Amino acid sequence: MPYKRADQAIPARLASISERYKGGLINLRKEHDAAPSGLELAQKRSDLMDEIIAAIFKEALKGPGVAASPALKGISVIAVGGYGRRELCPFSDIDVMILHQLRDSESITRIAENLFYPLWDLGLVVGHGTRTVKESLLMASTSFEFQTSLLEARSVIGDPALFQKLREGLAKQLRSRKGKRFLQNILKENDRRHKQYGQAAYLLEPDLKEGEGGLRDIHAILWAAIGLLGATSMSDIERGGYLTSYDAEALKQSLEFMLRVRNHLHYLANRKTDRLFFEHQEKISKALGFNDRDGTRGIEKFMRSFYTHASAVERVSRSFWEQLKDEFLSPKSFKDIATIHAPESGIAVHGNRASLSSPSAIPEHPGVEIRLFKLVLKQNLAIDFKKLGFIREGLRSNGTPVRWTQEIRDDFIDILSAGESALPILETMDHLGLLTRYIPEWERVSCLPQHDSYHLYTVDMHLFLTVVEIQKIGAGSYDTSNPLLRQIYDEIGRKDLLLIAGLLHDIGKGAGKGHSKRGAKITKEICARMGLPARDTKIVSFLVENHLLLPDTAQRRDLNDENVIIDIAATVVREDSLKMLYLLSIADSLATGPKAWDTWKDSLLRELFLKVLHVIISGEYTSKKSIDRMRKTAAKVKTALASRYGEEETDLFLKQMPHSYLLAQASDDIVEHFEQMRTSGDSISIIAKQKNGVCELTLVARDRPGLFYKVSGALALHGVNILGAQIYTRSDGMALDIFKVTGYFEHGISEDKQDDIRRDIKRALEGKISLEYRIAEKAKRYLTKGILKGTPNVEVDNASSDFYTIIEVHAEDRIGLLYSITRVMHDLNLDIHLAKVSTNVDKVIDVFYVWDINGQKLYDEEQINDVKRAILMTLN
Amino acid sequence: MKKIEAIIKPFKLDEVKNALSKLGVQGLTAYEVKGFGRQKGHTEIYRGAEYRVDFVPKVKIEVLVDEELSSRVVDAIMEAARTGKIGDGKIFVYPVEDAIRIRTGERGTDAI
Repeated sequence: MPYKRADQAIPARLASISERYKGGLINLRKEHDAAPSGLELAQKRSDLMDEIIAAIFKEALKGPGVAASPALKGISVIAVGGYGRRELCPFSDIDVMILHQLRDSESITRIAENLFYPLWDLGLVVGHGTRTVKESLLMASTSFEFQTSLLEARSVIGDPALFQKLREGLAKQLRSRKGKRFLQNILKENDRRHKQYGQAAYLLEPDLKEGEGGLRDIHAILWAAIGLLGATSMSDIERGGYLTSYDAEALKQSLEFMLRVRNHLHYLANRKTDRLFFEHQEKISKALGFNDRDGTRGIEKFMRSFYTHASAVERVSRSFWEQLKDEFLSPKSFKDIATIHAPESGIAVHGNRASLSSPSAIPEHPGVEIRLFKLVLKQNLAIDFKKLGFIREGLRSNGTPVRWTQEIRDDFIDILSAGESALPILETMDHLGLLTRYIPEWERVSCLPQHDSYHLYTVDMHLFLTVVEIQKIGAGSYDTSNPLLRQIYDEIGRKDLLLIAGLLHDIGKGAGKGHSKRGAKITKEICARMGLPARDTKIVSFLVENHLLLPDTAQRRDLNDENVIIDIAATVVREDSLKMLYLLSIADSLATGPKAWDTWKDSLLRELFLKVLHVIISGEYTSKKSIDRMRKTAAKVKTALASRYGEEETDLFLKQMPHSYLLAQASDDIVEHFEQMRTSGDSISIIAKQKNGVCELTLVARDRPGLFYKVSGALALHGVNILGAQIYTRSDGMALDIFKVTGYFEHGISEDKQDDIRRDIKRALEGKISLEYRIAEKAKRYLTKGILKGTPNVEVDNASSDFYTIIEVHAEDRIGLLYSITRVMHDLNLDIHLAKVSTNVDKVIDVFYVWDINGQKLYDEEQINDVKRAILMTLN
Repeated sequence: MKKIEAIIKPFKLDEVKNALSKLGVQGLTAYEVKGFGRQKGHTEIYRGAEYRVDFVPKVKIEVLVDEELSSRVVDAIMEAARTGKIGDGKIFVYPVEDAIRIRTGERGTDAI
């Protein structure tokens, strides 16, 4: 409806009211800045509003168009909602209602206009209504929201009898059988709200009003108390036995704290808002006196206080609603079950609610509180929140540090294995300080905020969620997106260790950089206290230390670099550890927030995992012997080279050469290769050396198409017999080929001949001689040595390596054999990255690691068949 | 003004980002994308079962630069993103008609 004023001229008296209001606001701000308080200021603001509304209302009655009525008879201004509760923050809505029983509708309209327009003019957001008692009650019976807003209504000014009538009507409405319905409505609304806004106690940018553990939860308790229990204040609820004095006090303090925060938040944002964004947290923490001290940031201390209050509200609320459900919603027969049975000593179960039998159960039966929670999960019971105090008291009296026993550990792991249903249990254990009793290091991560846009939750909640995600993977929750996960979970032998690692992986947070390393150290101590055997402790702390290894590598390193994969494999070593690490990485991401996990990251991580797994399974690089050998060789090479050429150049060389090279070559040879490659630069260099009666030719050249076949051809041309060959390609494209050769007729190769060979290799690479023609000529003069010809065989293996297609050739030796095979490969555009050629008497086994022209494995079936056929043809 | 779009290998993002900031490029948008070109994905094998991966994870970046900086930005991306192997990606350069900074209303190169 368009806003149209009946009377344009603002009477002077209204102007002075407006001045009074503005002056009041300035005073409130001053008070807030001097000493921010929560409830007190909220009430003062409400009182100021009362004063202003009363004044305007008096003017409204005198305004034009209002029939003379006996002043304040039959009409009343009612404050409802937060205003009714006397809880106003700087930009709260002002909800008022005119309650009346007048017949003169013209006058009512005028009065309403005269009241509400000036309020709007003051810049207030006013929720308004004009109703009779009957209309109000009818609306309350159909609108739950309106009903709750009336619960805390009070009369600001006007006919007190009228308001009394409304009150009585409302009480009657709730006392009748609709009480049950009212409770159900509150619970439903709570659920909806919590789902939409999440848990204020664990979200990094929480909603302090609507979130679980926020102000609304405290209001909801008050509504229920007023509507169902006939109480009007927290103290009434306490007297009625629905809150312990401890809990009532906790609620009061939380209310005070949150209102203080909300007051300042409104001032900062200069509008009504309830979400604590990062940008506001810093400023609020300063304004409320949380200063940086002793290396802890003020903002962190502030948010920890906030989370502590929110979790108190959450815990008290849960216990309160459980009681009300028992009282109002449980079927009669159930309520009547008075039998208390004790499934285990120190534990009592009443109906389906379990608790300790008394506070002294804790000193009498160590670990009984853990057993209680396990029992609740196992037998699908509910916690008797009313008696949670037993645990708190029991812990207080039990001063000695808690000792883990095998039984406690088993119970604890049972809780961790329970999946999503364990979440509220873990939270309760956290709220009660139980986790800190058993794991003192937990103190540091409890309610600890993390300041980035990546994480959604505080560290403790993140850790709980990680544990839950691990179990969800095992339960097949992610079967549709990645069925591999569950299969891997099933194959893990020690799920308990994975769960403990999940719970502790971020335990090192809250003390600066390097949380993984620090966490691993802390984890060792915790596991030792838990009584885990040393080898289990080692696994758990390994997982904690390396929980970022896979995700970091997957996104920041080249997964097509075999060295990268081998390095990870050599770090992880055990297949089982790799699988645990993989699932931990995924659970960690899933528990972080929606931004941390998607199919993009999933595919990178899976690629890395599978490649590392294959390297581990093949065992070539991960046996203790191989790892030792690679490390020792690298160390020896470094000592030999670093002093002469500097550490940087040496490291780069070791990084660029394939790990298979480090594994196969002796350190002395590697040093020689390094120097040869260094001096040759971009030109071709060939060094010949006699070794154990065999000649070893080492060729260094920039890799180019056909390099290998041309060299082999040039060797064949000189009647040189290739006993073995190893070829390596440095990642910057330099090729290192090592040939072990003998003369066809004599063992050694003379110096002169070496020179000829060197010359012809260079000429062949330059294309100055026709290898094809010359070798054909040459072959005529050599007899095939073997008398019985075996059948040659070619195998193409695509499974053994994730990086190369492996071609294995078995054949009888003959002059130019290697030349023929590699020439065919060249014709088919295969790039030989690595080769191992060995001749045993007359039998040749050649293994080639190849790529296609694009640097990929061969996936085309037709191409693979052609490769086989073409090589076979040349062999026959 | 030019918009320069590049598809690169994920692990090259940091290097490319550093190379661009050295040139004075102030802003960059990065997307996690999947696709294929000549690099045809790969087959993953687990316990004999094969999983074909057709779409390869890549990062797509977008930068908006002054005309004169454009060729240097292209060179910088090319140098930083190259491994010499398949799948190094591609760079596209588009003309841009106008740019507006929403907060201030600045237009053209001022808004970059």
